[in-house]
Amino acid sequence: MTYIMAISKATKNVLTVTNPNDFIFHSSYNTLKYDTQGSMVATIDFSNYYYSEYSDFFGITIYYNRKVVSVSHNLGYVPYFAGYVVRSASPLTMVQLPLEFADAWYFVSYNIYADSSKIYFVVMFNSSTNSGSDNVTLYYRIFKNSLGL
Amino acid sequence: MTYIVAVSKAGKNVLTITDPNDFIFHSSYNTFKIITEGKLLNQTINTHPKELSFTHSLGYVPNFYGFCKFPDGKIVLAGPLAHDYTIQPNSSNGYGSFSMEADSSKLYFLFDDVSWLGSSFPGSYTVNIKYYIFEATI
Repeated sequence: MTYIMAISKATKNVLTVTNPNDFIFHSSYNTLKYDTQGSMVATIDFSNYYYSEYSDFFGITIYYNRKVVSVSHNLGYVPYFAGYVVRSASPLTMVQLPLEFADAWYFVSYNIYADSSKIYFVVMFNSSTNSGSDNVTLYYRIFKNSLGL
Repeated sequence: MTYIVAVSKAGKNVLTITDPNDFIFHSSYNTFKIITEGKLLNQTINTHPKELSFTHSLGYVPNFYGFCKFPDGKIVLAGPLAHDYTIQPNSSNGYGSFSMEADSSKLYFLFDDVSWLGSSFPGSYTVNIKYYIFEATI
């Protein structure tokens, strides 16, 4: 005989309901288990661009930057993960990754990927300046669930 | 009298705390149940673009989430960005994108490849995909 543990939602009969959405918890359905969460600041030095080109159309030099930052999870496998970037500090606004934005000449992308030891954030953008710096705040959630990939 | 089942986090008094974040489990708060999870392994991307799918047959558009492992070993989230991956014999990089869509019967895994040194599709490569389908509709 197979035993289960289940808690139904209010007004639902735990002994008869079968729709997963009628349960608060059901031992037949896995859930995400938190591992860690946190944030980090990626400081981007505009002078550390990897490529530049002069745009005849805009009459300016365009600089391309790429910054990679990482956080260790040391789980030994690739976990379920999610990432967010702060697009506005006030009011606080976050956007889920990956994110890409572009207009006529400007682009910015925030990517996230993982391996068995780390989560990596990749920030790429172009700019009309090669001086100064900017800070990008990145948030992450790591779950214990293994992707098995 | 209403009964609840609750498990607090270590260091928290289950009888007095009220913040949902202080509980490992609380029967007043629904859990985000994984209805289905699975993998599509060794999938060949040999056209430009390429669509793969998984039939869930739920009859509604579910919450979903997915990851893809490209040949360079990076495991990425579904999204609009192109990811670099190494496929050429000379170890030069190619760039592929991975995104997901869903309808009431299937999950779709969409691949496309952006410019490859001015040429078209660079050749076939393989990917591994992990998908999750959560309870409830979007």
